[in-house]
Amino acid sequence: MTSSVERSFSDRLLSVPRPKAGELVLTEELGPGGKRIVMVVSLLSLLIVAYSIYWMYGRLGEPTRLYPKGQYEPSLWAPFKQGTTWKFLWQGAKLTLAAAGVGTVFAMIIGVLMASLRHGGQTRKRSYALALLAGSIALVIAAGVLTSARIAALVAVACLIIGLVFFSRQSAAAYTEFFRACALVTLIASPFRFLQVSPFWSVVLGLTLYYSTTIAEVIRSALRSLPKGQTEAGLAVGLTNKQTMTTVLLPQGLKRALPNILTQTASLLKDTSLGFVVTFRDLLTQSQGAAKQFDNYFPMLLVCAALYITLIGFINFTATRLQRRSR
Amino acid sequence: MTDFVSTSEALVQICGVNKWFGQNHVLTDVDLDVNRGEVVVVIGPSGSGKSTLCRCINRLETIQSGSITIDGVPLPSEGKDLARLRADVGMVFQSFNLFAHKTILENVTLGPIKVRKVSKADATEQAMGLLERVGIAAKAAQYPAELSGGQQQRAAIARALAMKPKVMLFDEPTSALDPEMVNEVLDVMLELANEGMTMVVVTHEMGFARKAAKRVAFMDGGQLVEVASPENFFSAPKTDRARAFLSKILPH
Amino acid sequence: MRLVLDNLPLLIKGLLLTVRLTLIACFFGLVLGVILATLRVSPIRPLRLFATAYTNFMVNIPIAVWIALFYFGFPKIDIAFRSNDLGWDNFRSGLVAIAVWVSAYFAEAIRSGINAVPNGQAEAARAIGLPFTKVLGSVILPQAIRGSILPLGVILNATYRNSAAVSFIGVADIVNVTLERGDTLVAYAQFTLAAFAGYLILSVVTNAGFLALDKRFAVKR
Repeated sequence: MTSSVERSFSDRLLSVPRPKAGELVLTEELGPGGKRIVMVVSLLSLLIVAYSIYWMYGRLGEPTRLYPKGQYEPSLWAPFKQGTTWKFLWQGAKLTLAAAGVGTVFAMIIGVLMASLRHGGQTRKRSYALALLAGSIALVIAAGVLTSARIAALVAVACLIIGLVFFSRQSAAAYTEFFRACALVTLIASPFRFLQVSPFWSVVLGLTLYYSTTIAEVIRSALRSLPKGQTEAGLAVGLTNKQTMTTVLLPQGLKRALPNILTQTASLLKDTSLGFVVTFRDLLTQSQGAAKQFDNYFPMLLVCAALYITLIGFINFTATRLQRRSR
Repeated sequence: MTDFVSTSEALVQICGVNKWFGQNHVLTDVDLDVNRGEVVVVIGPSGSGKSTLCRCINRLETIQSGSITIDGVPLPSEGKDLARLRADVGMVFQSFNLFAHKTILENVTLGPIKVRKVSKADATEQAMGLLERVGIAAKAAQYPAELSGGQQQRAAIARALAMKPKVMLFDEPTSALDPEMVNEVLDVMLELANEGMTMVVVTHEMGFARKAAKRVAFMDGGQLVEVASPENFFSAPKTDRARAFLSKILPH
Repeated sequence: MRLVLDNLPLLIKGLLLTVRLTLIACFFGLVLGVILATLRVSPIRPLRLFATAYTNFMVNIPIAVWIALFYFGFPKIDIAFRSNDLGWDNFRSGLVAIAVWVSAYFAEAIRSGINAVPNGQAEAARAIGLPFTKVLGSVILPQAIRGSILPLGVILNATYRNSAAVSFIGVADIVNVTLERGDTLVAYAQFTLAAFAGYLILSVVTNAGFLALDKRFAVKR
């Protein structure tokens, strides 16, 4: 009986992994009978998966009215042999990445600001805050009706800034709760329709408004999870409230929030695909256009999905690298 | 012939047991018999393998070689046989492990109803008796999180007793308790020992070992170093390792 | 205000369509999610790998792409979600796409619910002699399900919003109605507000429901 018996490949394939600390052992260490069952079911499931792949392969090749070789018809895949197709798709991918990148930067900046204001900013009498809110709404509506949507948007931004200066905690809360409750599609569509903003910047603006709130929430919960003693210690050594936030709380909170922020970033990248409502020529719209032109919807959309997986896989890869390094 | 007599009396027989965690040899050739009605207290420094040994007895941990026999039956490796054996072996954990979604009463009746197929009314009656005995009948309708650590541990003892076990295993039952709650649990255990329950107790409570143990088993580095009566062990330990251990824990 | 009132039936129809789409998709998604979560915690390694791959596949591709694939792509290989002989139905395609997509999220929520049950609970259940099925059925799953009530609510809430992606294939949900009918600033603002109110009602009701469920059933530790 030795402890470190070299484990065979089949052993590794079929073995129950030792659970990490805190992870549940659903099944206890198996006896010989249990191992046999696991082995048989594993082989069986491998067979089923293999057969499903085989079935799918056959299904794709089934002849249809137009294509005797089904989806393997060379004409359906021919576009992928041309550089122009890939260039066309790359243009879309570039816009997707650019919108996601710019959106992430903006959303991060606003998110950090909102989270830190909501966590540590000042509050004033609730009735004053509500009065300011009501006044702002009335002002924005009046500006919209009397002048133009652009002026109304400027008034809204001005009101928000005034609110953040004087009622920082309440205003940050109102901002976060409002835009979090909006449908992202309408947030993207609005600037395009009424502020004459280009599709790209509409998408960026919509994503920024929505994702700044989710990022703010992620950071705020990280800030709340910090021990109370951190704030007290910061104040005790003579830092101001603001200094405590920027030098003590935020660095720790951001580090804690990083994995969740990256999840939000991946989600933001996926949601660039909602740009179709403003004719944003991103990866999805380009693929859709190409598919329409070549009439090869199935192959083209598969390629599109694969490209998205690659892009988001890249973010996830960086995320795990970062996480490992920060540990 | 004497050998034969001793095996028939032994309720738990641990024979040449070895266990590894990966490269780590945590139990080395452990031999220990626990006779019917006997209380064996296992002590030793942390990391000595005493907890692991206790958990091996009802196969919460597997062993790589050797054998463990309970009431003449070798420990089954899985399935219904293993479940049936575990029903006969009561276990009390360091962290209580009461079922968090069930009331104290339901915690105690779950085993008898689902395993022993006792009717709900009978199980409840028996459970109330047991809770009365450990002094927490008033808490029967409450959830574990609403009880203090000492009360939870007494409920856990009642849960184990409800299965009418042949032997009770205690895996550091007082280590997770606040100091003022240790005694209420030890008192219940002492009472149990005086009633003739067969017990294997892993603990750091030397007072309990002196009072309740028939034999003390000292473990160090995965080995069973010394087994002796508490009087002999505490006053005249035979091995250097036991002496070193005692000099560290006994008051100066 | 007149505009919203005039179009109220259309808006309500759109909102109900969103609700119907989300609830049906989430029902099937939950069933699929439970199966996937079971596979992911099972001792059968190929099944674990399959479920993990499925989840990553779903989660890393935008819902709009899935909807496009189900509506435009799959009919080309004769996998279509028809409601009649005339062609495939965009509502059903969207529904199936959302269901398979959201199932991955449900699976993750349930899996982490299972993993959140402390190991000691399973050990204690085994120690009193419960067989595997009852360890699972009486101790682990009840706690896992109670623990994942709130995450399930969050997913349902997110799905109300994410289902708006069916606009891509022209399903007339509440957002689509807003986009189609709101052609002037005033009209658009009113429709947007109406849609906002609709989503708000949905999320308030959902949150209240799930919070109540959680308060009633959550496991205290």
